[in-house]
Amino acid sequence: MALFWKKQADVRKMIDKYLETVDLCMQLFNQSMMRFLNTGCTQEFTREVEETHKLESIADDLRRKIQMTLYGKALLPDSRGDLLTLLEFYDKIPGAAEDVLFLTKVLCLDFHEDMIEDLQKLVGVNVEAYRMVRESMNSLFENPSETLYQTRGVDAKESESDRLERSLIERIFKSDMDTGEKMLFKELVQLIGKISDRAENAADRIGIVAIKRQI
Amino acid sequence: MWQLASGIFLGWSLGANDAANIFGTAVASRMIRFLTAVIVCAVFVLLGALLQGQAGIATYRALSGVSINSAFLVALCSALTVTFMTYLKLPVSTSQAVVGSLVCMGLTQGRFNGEILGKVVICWVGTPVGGMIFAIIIYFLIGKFMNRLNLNLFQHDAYLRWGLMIGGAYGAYALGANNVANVTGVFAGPEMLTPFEACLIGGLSIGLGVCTYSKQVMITMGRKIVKLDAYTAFIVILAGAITVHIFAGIGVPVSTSQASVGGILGVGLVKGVRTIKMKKLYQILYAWIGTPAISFVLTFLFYFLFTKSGLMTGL
Repeated sequence: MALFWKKQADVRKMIDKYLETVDLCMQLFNQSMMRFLNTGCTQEFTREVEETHKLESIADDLRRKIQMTLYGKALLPDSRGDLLTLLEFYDKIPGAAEDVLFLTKVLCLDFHEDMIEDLQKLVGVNVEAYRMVRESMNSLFENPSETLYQTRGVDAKESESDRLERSLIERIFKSDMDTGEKMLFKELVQLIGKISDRAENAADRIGIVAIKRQI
Repeated sequence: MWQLASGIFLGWSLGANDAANIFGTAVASRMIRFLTAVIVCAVFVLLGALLQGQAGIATYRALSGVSINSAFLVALCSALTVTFMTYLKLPVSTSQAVVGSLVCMGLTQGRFNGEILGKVVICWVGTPVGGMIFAIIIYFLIGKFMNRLNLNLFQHDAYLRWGLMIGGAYGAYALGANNVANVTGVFAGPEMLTPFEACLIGGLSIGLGVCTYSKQVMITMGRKIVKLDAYTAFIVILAGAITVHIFAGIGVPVSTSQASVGGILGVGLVKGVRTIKMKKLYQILYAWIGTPAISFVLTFLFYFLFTKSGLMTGL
């Protein structure tokens, strides 16, 4: 019987490690995007993109390990199912960040000076949405009664990101860039916005998990 | 005492079937390992039988004092009735089968005690009703307590696991205390078994049924009610255990299956489930009437077959 308590403790440790890895991944994403927007496609930026990719892969491996432990009957079926779905949603956030960095590295686009500030803001808001979903996750594991309050913040950040995204896309299409360039810029902006979309989806799942545990 | 074999057979089948009411959900959904469940179940069934099983045995003695051969016939007909009802996939109550058979023996031998039968029948009605009422009360009480604790996902999970284990152990104890009389109650009496011996043999035979043949029944039963989440499953087990334990104290053997069904209905009412299955209610009603009736008729037929043919004397 002691086995299933040990498995539960193991899962908790693995989740903490997974969340810390995603934290590092998102920090590096923020750092490298800011570097790109300030100094362009430098060698240092490329190195950071590679590092982010590595961290995302480590996080993926950890998530798979957690899945295998959960399938090995740690936790009750309800909790097991909730946790697996939640991690699946959560894992899409670093995935989106990695996609942004990959596209940025491949395209090495040269943004107009007047758009840089808004782009920095867009990246910042999306990283902030992640930070809030991370806090919601902490709250779910530490202080569940606060969880729903925390998830509302993510929703607000997602709306802010949407507004910035639309305004940037409008400016892109009003600029004197050629159509091909406009399409590429638009795609990158939308890809950045996906981070907060996915953070919102994960926050919704966190809310559901919290509500389900209220009797 | 070869006649005791039919009692042991009845105990074995009771253990194999009724363990599912206690640990079915937890085992079928892999919340608790089968081996852990059967060990806990068998140990607590025996404890319940030894510590609190004697009141039920006294009731059966009062209902109709029967000879050893009659006791054999009662246990045999009850076991056949239970098997037949199981074949028909109807909810089975061993105690109703035993009482139906005992009443028949009492009437044919002119030793029928109507007052005790009245008490038993009232308790039968009280079993699902009790299960339902306790489920509603403890659903809110424990729910309020757990909400106040502000448990995180892991703590919530751990509390429910312990709840299922402790509730299951309590359910097994109540099963042993209440149902041991069904198994060896009719064999207790002068020149037969002492109440302690009856409880020991009954408890062991139920435990044997739990250990050797309960897995498939647990899985079947568990999958039927596994749609309940862990919390409601825990409430159903606990409500059933409290109800059956109370009746063990009163000394009336009742059905753990019907206590569980009552618990499920109670949880359904609390959660606002509009689809309380009328079919299920009719099944309980059929079982209430059908089980003792079939057992009664079977005992009557066997009684005349054995006495007329001279196969068994001293009935």
